[in-house]
Amino acid sequence: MRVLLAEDNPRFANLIAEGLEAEGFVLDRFGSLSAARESVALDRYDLFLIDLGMPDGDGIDFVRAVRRAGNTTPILVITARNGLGDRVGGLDSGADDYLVKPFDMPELAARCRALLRRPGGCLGTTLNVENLEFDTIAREVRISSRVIHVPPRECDLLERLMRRAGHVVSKASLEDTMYALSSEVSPNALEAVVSRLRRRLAAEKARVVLHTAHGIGYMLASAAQTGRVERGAPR
Amino acid sequence: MTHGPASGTPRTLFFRLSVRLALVGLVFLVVELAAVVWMYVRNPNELDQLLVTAEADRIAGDIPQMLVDGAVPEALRQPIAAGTRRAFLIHELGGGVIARFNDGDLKIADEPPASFLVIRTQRESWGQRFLLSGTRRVAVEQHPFWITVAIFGHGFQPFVPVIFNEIRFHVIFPLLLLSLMFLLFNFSVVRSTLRPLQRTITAINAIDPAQVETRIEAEASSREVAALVSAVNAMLERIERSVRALKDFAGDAAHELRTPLAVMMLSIGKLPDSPEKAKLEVDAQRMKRLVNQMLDMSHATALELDPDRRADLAAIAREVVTELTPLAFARGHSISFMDQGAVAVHGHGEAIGRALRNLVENALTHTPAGTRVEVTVGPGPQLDVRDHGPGIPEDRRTEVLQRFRRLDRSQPEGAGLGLAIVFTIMTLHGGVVRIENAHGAGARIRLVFRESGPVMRA
Repeated sequence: MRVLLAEDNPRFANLIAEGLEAEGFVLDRFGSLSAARESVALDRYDLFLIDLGMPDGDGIDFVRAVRRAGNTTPILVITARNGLGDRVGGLDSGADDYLVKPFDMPELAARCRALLRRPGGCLGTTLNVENLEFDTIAREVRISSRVIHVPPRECDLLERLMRRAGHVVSKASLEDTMYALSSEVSPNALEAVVSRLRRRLAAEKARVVLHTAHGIGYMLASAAQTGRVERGAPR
Repeated sequence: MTHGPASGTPRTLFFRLSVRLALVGLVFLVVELAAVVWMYVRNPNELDQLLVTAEADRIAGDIPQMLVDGAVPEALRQPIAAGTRRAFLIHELGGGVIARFNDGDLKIADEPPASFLVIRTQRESWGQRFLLSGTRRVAVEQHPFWITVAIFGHGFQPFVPVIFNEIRFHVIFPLLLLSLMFLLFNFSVVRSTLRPLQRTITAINAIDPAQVETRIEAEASSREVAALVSAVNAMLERIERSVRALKDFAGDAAHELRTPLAVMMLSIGKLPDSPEKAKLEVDAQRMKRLVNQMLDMSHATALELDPDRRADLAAIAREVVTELTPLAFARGHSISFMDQGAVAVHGHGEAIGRALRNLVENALTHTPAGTRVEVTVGPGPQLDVRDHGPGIPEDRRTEVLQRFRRLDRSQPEGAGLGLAIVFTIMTLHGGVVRIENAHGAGARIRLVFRESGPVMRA
């Protein structure tokens, strides 16, 4: 997994590089946008990590140029800006996600993996949270490497939740994916599937928690994270 | 050089101008007196005529009395000028003598005036001594009389009352009149000159300290006032610049802190797991929140509302709750969201989102783990965050809306900016922040907006 990192603060770039390399990424670091631009033309990358505040220009312009050139490589923007309106500007330019400084390594790594797992992304087809694994091709669920039988509805639900592990997935979007083809959905259908899946995961000793955010949706998270010191929600 | 008394109110412009004009009048008086005295000293005949005329006028005043009594009144026996002797003789038309007064051997020959038109004055001198004689024609009750006067005296002193009289009528009286006119002129000029100044002062006083971009209209009437106005405006400009610089500073500083803080967090992340590392992580998270709040505050203060912009409260609240749910779970809280029929409001969606975010973060920070935080939108234009913590005492509810105020200063988390950000954003939207105690226990903070019609949903 080759990652291009454009970051002008050398210490910050070092830390990001070391952290991501420890997670199995290969990084090419650039201290200016012009240098990054040359490499984009020559090499193929799986992910761009772009700091918006660069000495020789605005990272947003770089993102726009990449997208105009027809390059669809996922882009994660790192920014110190989060003024009112900055977020919309960042995503409109063609970035896939953005991360506001400061953040910690697990957050960055999780965001990078999420982008690489997108359709067309280079990361493998296996999602995992703690001892729970999900093979998106074989549609196979494993807990501590043991294959578990999970019915199709629960499988769909688990995949959606695992792709956004640590974040809330809204009820509406879950219902859309799970019941796209069926004409009638009872109001409690989703709740029933969720509670069945929750029981199943608990029975099989998965070290994950399936949280309910009342009125919003559901969130799958590592059991170790829950009740621990905050990880810091993305801003 | 001494200045006026430091304490007490300074003199009015009217008073100061009056004093200066009075000084000018005084100088004028002295010059005029000198001129009058000099003129008479140079021209003694004038004085002779004046003294004779003065005596004749005085005698003429008593003619009706004398016509009745046929005797000279006692008062008339004394001359005007002290130290002189004076005789007089009054003829009527036809040459008849009406009255006569001789002072010792000073007598006047009883001969009618050579011509009834004659007015004469004559002086004979022997050294310091002099004898004045003269005739004046007077009219009393439309009858003509001729008064002939003889005055014997010496030196200059007899003329002093005459000169004094002259000064009274020709110097002091006009000067009094002039002074009065000066005062009136001064009063009206000062008033009309100061009127634009007064209006300018009123305009300056009316400036709202929160509206640093306000400027004063220049008065077209006078260049001086226009200069004052432009000086005041230039000063306002400088104030505005420094206020903005101050506002920007907090934002800039917080912004610049982000990269070092990110470096710090990543460095802490590399440390081997230990209780110290956990503490550092908590501290770093607090700093992160503080920096974010400082930026929020700076953005909220600088925000300008587009009157056409609308915000969907339900969508905003749903997004904020979605974003903060992982934090809530991480801290062992549960969180819920309920839409009770919210409506759209005029406003800046992201700013409202920041306000709500701060409320929810506050609730998560200040309530014990295991409790629930409930976010409700509607009914109508309102957002509502209810927690199950200790609540906010009634007497401190205004205070907590101010910057850097915290209920419990011993609690390490938070800078006391959260509610101040909420308050700033709500004030900008013309809305209010209501802090209540929830039914049961805990705090309930409501953001109530002005209504702007039903929400349009896709």
